[in-house]
Amino acid sequence: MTNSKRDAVVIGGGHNGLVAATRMARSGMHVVVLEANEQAGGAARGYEIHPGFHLPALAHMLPAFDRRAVRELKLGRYGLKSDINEATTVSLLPDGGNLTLHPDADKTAAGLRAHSASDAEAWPAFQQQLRAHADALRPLLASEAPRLDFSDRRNLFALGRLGWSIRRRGRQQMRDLLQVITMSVADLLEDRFETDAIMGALALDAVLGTDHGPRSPHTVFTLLHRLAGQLAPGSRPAPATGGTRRQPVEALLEAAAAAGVEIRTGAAVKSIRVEAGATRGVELADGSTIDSPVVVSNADPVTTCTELVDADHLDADFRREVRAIRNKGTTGKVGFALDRLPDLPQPASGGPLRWVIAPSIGYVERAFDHVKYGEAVPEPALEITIPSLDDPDRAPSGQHVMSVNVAYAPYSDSFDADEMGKTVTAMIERHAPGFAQTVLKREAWGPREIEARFGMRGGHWHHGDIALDQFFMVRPVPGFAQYRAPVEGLYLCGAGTHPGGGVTGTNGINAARAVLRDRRNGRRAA
Amino acid sequence: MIEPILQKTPFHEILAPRNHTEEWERWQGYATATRFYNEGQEYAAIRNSVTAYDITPMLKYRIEGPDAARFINRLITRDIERCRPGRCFYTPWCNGAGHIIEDGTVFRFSENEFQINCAEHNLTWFLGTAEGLDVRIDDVTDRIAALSLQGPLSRDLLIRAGITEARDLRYFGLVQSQLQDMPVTVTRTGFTGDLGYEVWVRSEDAVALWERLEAAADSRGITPIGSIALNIARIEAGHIQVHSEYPDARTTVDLSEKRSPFELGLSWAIDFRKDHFNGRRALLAQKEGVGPRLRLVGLELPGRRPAVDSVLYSGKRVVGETTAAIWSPLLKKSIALALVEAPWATHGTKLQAEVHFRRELRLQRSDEVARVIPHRFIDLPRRQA
Repeated sequence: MTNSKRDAVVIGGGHNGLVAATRMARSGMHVVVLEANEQAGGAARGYEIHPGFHLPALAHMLPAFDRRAVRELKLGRYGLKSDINEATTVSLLPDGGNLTLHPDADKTAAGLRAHSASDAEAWPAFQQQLRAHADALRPLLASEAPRLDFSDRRNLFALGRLGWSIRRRGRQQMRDLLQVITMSVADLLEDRFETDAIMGALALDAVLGTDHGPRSPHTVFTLLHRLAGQLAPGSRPAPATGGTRRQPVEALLEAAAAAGVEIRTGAAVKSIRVEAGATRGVELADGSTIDSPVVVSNADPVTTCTELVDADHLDADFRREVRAIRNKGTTGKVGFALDRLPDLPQPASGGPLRWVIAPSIGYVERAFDHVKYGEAVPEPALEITIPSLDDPDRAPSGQHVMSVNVAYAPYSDSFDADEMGKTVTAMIERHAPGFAQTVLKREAWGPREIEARFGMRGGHWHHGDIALDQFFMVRPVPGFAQYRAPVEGLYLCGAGTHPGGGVTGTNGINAARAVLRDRRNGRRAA
Repeated sequence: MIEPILQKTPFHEILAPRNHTEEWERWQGYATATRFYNEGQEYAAIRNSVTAYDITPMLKYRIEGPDAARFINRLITRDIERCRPGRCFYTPWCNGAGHIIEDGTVFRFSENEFQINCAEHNLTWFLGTAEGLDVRIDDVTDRIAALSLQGPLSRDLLIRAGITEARDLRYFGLVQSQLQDMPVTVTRTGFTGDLGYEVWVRSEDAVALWERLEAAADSRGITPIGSIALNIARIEAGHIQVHSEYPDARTTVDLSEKRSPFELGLSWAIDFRKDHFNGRRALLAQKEGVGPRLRLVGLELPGRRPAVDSVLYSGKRVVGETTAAIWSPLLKKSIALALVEAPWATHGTKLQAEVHFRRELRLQRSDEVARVIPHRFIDLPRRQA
């Protein structure tokens, strides 16, 4: 059996694994990334659905990339910036009409006036309020979650800084945030609006990718979580002149190679070797081993702590907490290769476009009812993007690729993903007549397929549901929110850690910082 | 009519007519005697003849299977490989944060057969710890009746009852014997700091066991004891008890109330040489850290009043409190177990104890000088001889 030595092994070559590996390598560590698939990049990578047609594998709406990651990894050199253009959302309505949500509030309000004068009046203030709350939450998303340890000065400082970031926005806003954050998004919206279309579109944003319906508690929080991730703080809009945004994975792969990171694909890890409470390296599925005092796992916390590390090495209560992480995926994905651009309304916009089918809160909640009981959803809510609009290289000239997120799809063996693909095709056909004939190739995945393809347990985008009780200091489990597993030298860097999923690289950069800090201090991971 | 709430142990029909005070209390859903006639006389019997205490309500878990020893080593802080078949040992167990959940005894019948005895329900914790192992864990509490025979004449009683193996049974030894068709397990264990044994039989054999023992005791008799007398003996012996010296970490909310084995004087019972066990990492950090905040100590005080629930001062500073206090009939003085902040836990330190008592109905307070001494107040050679 072959055996080799490294300073650090990264399990899984998702974007966070690549960020962590590159950051460590830039500090002089000898790092290898082990990716089970034939291609690194995880959910953020592209894949060829049909010869010449490339789709984002899972993540089709890209949030702003972590600014520290861009800076520390010099990702700008490889074309990746943290700038982002806010998407314009077109809500497709059952009567064939539509309602457009522009980044600009007044523009949205103008369109809303046709539906309701009072909603048009309420919208700008509401959007401003949501953004202010998202801004208040953002510092929590960017930084490592502090521990509830008041004896550690550094920690106390971090706690104080976070408290201040919310409080400094004024008593009124703090009070309002504390009130709305635990509410269901349905209650919040129904309190402000009367137009189903606007409420349905926002409700979908609040629940997409999570195991919640719009009437589930604290879905205002999940909405703010999404907003805070999508809008970079003070980011300049990317040039609107069709300048294609660099795909993060391509930039990351180049940055990793330049930093000397070795990436092995088709290298599945069988177990993490632990002796006397300390990480010793990994054993691969082919029987070979790699010795390393540091292992950073981009796999989800449940897989890492219940499959890769033997139960012999972990405390029973820790294992129990990890097993209790809710990670049932509820979102399906349908990819299309299209012969021509579908006939969907295309308002002029400076940034990316997306279309949603979520005509009312009730529509989304009814869809959720089905998945709650493990059933296929007859009329799911959809988020549709056409990535080849922004990046024509993704498809042959004049042809297109389409990526659809489906809310919801059950995590179930009996679920027929292709049936979901047919349902989605028929739904789009209703809004874009002739669409079905243009489909050259369709591929549909339920949570089971996503689980198998990306190795994410439960098929959950976020490696663990986004909810107030699985967030910040208690993500992935209470007491272990600092990217360190309770084994010396074992770190977590995937979406299951704070601040959750989304292609931002925050988890990866924070995990790498934890590794480097522990190395500097010669200290056991706490 | 409401049915009686508490269950009766298989010894109840024997013990109830002997309980002249009719004083019973709860113990894990069973009725257990508080006192039979007079706790002073019951205590005297512990130290001078032989007593019986019904320990059937104690939780008893049977552990069997190829990975039984591996399971136990994941659970406890000591190394089960230091306990050979035919032996028992005392051990604490902790949660992942290194806080004590409970302490109890482990019996090793053979390589792969064990019994764990403790005061609190632990099945869920045990099953969680056993994840992935080939081991069977059964709560056998209501299937096994047990009697604790404590006192200098206990060995003699067992031999006369026909359990001749008791003659050579060493301290913390275990023997499986047979009285006619009654399988009997005898362990040389107890909670009194005296010579003593615990006898374990099938529930249906409880009455027969008692009759057998009573016949063997003949005119010397066996004194049944209640919890008050036992508590006096256990404090003299310096045995800690869950809910007295420490809370169960699983059900305690206030982190500062949870105790570590280091605080309870159990550092000898933590074996870092073995592989991982629940709490190992946290305990190692505690060991390498600044040391425990509190320490379990013994206190001796002047006067006859037990310093129950006393706050302990050094000057004006509160430095601890007593957890259990009695007037010790053996030492002829007032003693207490106490948790004291580490700097004041050194032997010989003098603290002020606020002792409360009532004169007629008036609540009175006297400040007594409490001297810190080792918490094992007595050490009777016959306990281990």
